[in-house]
Amino acid sequence: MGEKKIIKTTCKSCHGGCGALVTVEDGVIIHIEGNPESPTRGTMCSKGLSSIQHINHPDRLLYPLKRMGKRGEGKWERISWDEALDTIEQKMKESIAKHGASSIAVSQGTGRGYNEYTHRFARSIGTANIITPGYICHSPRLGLYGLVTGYGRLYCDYHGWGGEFPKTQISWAKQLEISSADGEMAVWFLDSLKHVKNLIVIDPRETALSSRATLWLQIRPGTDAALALAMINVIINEGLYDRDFVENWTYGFENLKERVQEYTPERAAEITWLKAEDIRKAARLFAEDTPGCIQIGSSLERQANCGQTLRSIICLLGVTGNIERPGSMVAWMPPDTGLREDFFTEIPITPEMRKGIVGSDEYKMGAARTAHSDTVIKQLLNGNSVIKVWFSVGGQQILHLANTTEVIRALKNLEFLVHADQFMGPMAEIADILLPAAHWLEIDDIYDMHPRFMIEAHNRTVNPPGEAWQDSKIFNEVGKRLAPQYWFENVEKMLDYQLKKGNMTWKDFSKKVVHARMGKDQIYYKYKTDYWRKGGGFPTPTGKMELYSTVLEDLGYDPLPYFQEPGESSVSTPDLAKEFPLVLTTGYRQPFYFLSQYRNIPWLRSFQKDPVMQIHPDTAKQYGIEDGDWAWIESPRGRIKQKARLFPGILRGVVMATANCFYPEEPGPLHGLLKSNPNVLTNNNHCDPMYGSPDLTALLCKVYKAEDEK
Amino acid sequence: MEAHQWMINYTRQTEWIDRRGIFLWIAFYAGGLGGGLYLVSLYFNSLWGMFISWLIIAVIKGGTHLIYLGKPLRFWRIITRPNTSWLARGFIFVFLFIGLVAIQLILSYWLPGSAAEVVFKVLGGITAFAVAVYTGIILKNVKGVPFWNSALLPVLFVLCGILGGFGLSVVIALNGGDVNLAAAETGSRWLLIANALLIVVYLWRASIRESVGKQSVLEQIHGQSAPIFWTGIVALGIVVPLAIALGSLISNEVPTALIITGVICEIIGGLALRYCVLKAGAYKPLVAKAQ
Amino acid sequence: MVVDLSSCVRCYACLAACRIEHFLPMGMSWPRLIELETGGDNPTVSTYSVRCNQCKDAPCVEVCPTGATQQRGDGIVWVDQNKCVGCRYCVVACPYQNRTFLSKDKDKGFFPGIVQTDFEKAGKKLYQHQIGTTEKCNFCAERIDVGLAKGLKPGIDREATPACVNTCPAKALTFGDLDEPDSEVSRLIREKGGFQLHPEYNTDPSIYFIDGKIGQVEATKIEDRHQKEPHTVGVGD
Ligand SMILES: Nc1nc2c(c(=O)[nH]1)N[C@H]1C(S)=C(S)[C@@H](COP(=O)(O)OP(=O)(O)OC[C@H]3O[C@@H](n4cnc5c(=O)[nH]c(N)nc54)[C@H](O)[C@@H]3O)O[C@H]1N2
Ligand SMILES: Nc1nc2c(c(=O)[nH]1)N[C@H]1C(S)=C(S)[C@@H](COP(=O)(O)OP(=O)(O)OC[C@H]3O[C@@H](n4cnc5c(=O)[nH]c(N)nc54)[C@H](O)[C@@H]3O)O[C@H]1N2
Ligand code: SF4
Ligand code: SF4
Ligand code: SF4
Ligand code: SF4
Ligand code: SF4
Ligand SMILES: [Mo]
Repeated sequence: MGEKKIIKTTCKSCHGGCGALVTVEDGVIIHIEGNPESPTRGTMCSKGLSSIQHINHPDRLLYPLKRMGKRGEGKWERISWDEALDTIEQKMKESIAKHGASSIAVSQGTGRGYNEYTHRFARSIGTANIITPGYICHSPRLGLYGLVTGYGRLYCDYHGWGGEFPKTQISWAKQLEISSADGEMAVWFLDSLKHVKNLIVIDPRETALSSRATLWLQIRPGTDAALALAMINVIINEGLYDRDFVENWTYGFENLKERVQEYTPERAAEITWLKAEDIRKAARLFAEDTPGCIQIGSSLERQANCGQTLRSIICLLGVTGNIERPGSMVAWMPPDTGLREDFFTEIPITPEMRKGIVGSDEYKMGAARTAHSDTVIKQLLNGNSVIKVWFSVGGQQILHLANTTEVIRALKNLEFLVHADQFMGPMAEIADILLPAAHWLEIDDIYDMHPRFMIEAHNRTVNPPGEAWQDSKIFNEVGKRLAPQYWFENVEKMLDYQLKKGNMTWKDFSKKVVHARMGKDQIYYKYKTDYWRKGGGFPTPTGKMELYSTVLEDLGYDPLPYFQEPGESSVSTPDLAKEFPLVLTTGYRQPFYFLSQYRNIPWLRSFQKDPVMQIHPDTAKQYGIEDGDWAWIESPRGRIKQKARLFPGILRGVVMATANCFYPEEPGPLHGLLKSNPNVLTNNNHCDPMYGSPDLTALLCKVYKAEDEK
Repeated sequence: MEAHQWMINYTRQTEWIDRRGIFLWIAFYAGGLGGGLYLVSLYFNSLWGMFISWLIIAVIKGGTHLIYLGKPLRFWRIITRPNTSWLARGFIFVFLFIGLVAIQLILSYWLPGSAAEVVFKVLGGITAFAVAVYTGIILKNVKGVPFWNSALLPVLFVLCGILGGFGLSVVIALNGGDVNLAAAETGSRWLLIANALLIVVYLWRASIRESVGKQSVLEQIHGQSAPIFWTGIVALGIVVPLAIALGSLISNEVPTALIITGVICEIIGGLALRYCVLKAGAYKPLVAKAQ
Repeated sequence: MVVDLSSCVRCYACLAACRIEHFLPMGMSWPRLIELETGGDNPTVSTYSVRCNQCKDAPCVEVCPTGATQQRGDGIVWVDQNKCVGCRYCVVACPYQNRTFLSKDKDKGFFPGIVQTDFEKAGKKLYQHQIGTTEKCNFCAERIDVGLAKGLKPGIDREATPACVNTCPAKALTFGDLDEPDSEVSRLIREKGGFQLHPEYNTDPSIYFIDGKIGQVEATKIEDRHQKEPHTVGVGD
């Protein structure tokens, strides 16, 4: 019997954050469980626990690879890290010399704790063409919260640190209970439900919460702005708004009042397929039983009207005074180490970099710090691409962007694509150079995700397999070759640097594991202090919370929120609706998958083998589909098939397709990517004016049984 | 099975019929048939019958059951809990039968008519009956499966075993064995009728007991195992043998081949009965709508 | 154990926790989730996280011909794998379908024919799963025993509490001593109307279910924690 030790670390099998205890015996992990002393109190989900099948997976990428045959042919040759880095350096330098630094795109998938490196790397070499799914995920929320809080973060106060828990909670297009770590950790949220009086769920589908909610609004996808505006209408017209907050701390109340007059509950009911009475009830509950908070889900950000939808919801928070109050929406203060974002914001985006951002002329909110992905794709298709070299670290743009068929064609037009990943997925298959990345159990790093009131340590428990490197090392090594002044001798020095404000070294922090500002160290009502502005107020041009946004006005957008029909719907495109009569929505996070990940993890796959689409039994009957049938879902862009789940909990006439799916076990280069991935159906032509978000969760489709398979 | 289907609806037991479960099915029937044949052979005092029944139980019943076990080498452990387990008792019956009847056969061969022989015949008869009946009791004791949870099941299994026993006796008689053909045929006929009636009563009782029991019955008549029910139990097990039996009553001149066909049909019927009973054994849903 | 149907969010964490805790072979899961849905105007889904009920009057113990399945003094029903012959009478006799026979095809390994992972190799040494025997949830008896030996209390101290209970983010699972009237489980059963599955089988399960609605709590204030003086921070502002 050899050495046995228990290592404290932090899981990021999703966006991350749960404290983990990992037992290692003789260099082998024999157990993983939650760390009871961490802020997540010893709970972990199926994904994190199944990591044990991830790190030992036979398909892990072990060595840097170079493409041999044609792109996507699947012929690879093992190369050394030196050769890989040399090639990347040379290609990037060539491209910078020939086309300028903006010709290099740096991309990542959803947040996985290495965001800071992605951004720092890009900025350090002089490009702001960073490609992330942020614009369909979390950024619109942050950007628009930024119009209130200055730095863009408002979170539901589930913690009771201010002495109060939320009395009314709205779960709006959200499954936080399983999409944990998207905004907040599920465990905190679930705990706060023990104290909530009213829970309002706004979702076209039954979720684990809706069955038991005080009120469940089964809304037509894509119409949430109309609901929010009608709720404001009721709250203002019935005099239920927070007078003190509105009078002293908001700007543009009268304009908002005027704007919402057209959104009567009756009109909104028509738009949203809800009952006017329920809309009134929701408004009253939220306005009367305060404090309250709204957990926003990213389904709202995957719509081409997302900017206005979010603006409406933020105004709803404003008129009810649910900002910075204990139990409402709070912008947490970071720990004394500062925001990890400082690691890249310390390299500012120069005017030249900004000019080079693809899509910045059109999507002034979204494409200010990052590129607009769909414009990148269109340019690649049209042969006028600014982007020539693409450095992709994690992320499967090939399946997560709208209109997969176009994306596949576009990516083939790249001059050079480097991809770092743990597995050979569709994105890896079309790369020129492939870099093997380490798993969280194999890395030393600093973690912070959404709530930003703490940082946590990933402590290496075992060595990465083969020659896999952790992402921070990949960035550091490539960075050193291209912009040495911004990069570090080694990873440990880089980590020390990030912790310096907190007077800590990596070694100190690694032992501490969690460094947080929680409980009494947080302050509420920051606008009543000097926190944002001397003498109190919000960090906005008017010093008030801007219901009427002067910032948006300056950018040429409507300063007041409004409702806009989705790009495709029975209202906006009635002719199309004749052929495609059903509403298609996508997303539908599964507790045991993380986007396209983990279909190759046997324990997790055992929970659900095939991608599932939900459809109401009555609707299914109309189209001759039975439970368990494979069914085609077709839109004007193409068709996919998923397994039909007849589910009485979904709104009639709505189809919910599982997003981000491919079949790792099927042959490359596409691994069944076109078979079931709903982005084959989505549209990248119609995007939100502020953020450029395409309609991914509110479209039209038709369904029919796939006869060929059972 | 998906989370939204499993144990919400009718959920079949599979362990004792699907995949390797077929061995158990054969073992269960062989127990009934062997026990039945022994009892019938006692009646006819047929040494051949006793010997064949011994073979059926020792080789087929014992063998298939052992093959079925996950850890066959540990078979001896199976008899350690007779105080609560009918399976332990069943195995003890089987072992006793094998031992006692072996002695009885030897006695009958060397010392026919001795007191010892009579004693061992009685003991053999008791264990034979026990072997035939215990499989039914095993199923009857399963609380979660209403279709099985019926006192009629052991009776049915024994009766069906005896029917098979008569059938085999007929074959023995036809092959010049020590059995009275006419008596065997008469017995066969009566038992066929009794058996058919009992099946009907059993199904009817099961169908009124619980909704799941009813579903099990429906499963028999309409579902997956319906072909086996109709062709196996009804046609081959009852109708054909009965027709042949009636034919032999009327004409007296039935060809041997036909009679043997009838017996084979009876045996298939018996197998089909066990099969259907095992196959349609379904649990009550674990959670039901009305709590 | 008490399972709170209104809290469970069907996250499957309990299933994964059990698998890693016991090095479960691929084809086996001791706990399971069942979704019961009702249609109509207000469709609902209740999710039952189920596992062996550790019945006080356990049919599986009764029918086991070898005595492999047995009940400890504390009520935990367990299988001695060295005695089990794999007759599967218990599998058939458990009216709750909580037992699994471990056949060869259920233990092909995580990545059959490709590799045996380090974790599996370690598992083979650390935890016995004999092919040809029957297994089921044992209420993490090993964990409880280790905890008890350290003087810890099951249901309160993690080290003496089942893995699935510890990992549940919704606190839908509560563990404790049913015989102790003041334990959390006893209190929940009493106050929230705990019910057993199929009491008519007279098995007296040790797992109770409770069902309630979210949002019945009036008090959202925590008085003593309230903080009056906001203080400013140094860095980050
Ligand atoms: N139709 C539709 N489309 C959608 C969505 C939807 O709901 N509907 N959702 C959108 C949203 S919100 C998002 S965030 C995107 C998500 O899209 P992505 O983030 O692109 O998600 P994945 O497809 O899981 O790709 C992640 C890749 O990163 C790899 N990876 C994981 N961890 C690491 C690591 O630590 N290092 C490295 N180097 N690689 C790693 C994985 O192996 C995988 O190949 O999809 C978007 N697309
Ligand atoms: N386990 C797990 N966790 C995850 C992920 C994962 O894949 N798996 N993905 C991570 C990522 S990248 C993200 S962005 C988050 C996303 O997490 P969530 O925001 O919770 O995402 P979804 O589950 O896709 O969608 C939430 C709900 O929105 C509803 N919905 C769809 N369209 C509409 C609409 O138009 N209006 C309203 N009101 N509701 C609508 C859907 O029915 C669904 O129940 O989760 C993160 N966490
Ligand atoms: S919620 Fe995320 S961080 Fe927590 S255990 Fe699951 S995967 Fe890991
Ligand atoms: S871990 Fe808890 S919430 Fe998740 S499925 Fe199990 S019982 Fe339900
Ligand atoms: S639930 Fe089944 S396996 Fe568990 S004790 Fe009860 S009868 Fe035995
Ligand atoms: S399978 Fe094993 S535990 Fe179950 S009844 Fe048979 S011997 Fe006992
Ligand atoms: S109590 Fe232990 S053995 Fe039973 S299901 Fe939970 S984790 Fe598995
Ligand atoms: Mo996302």
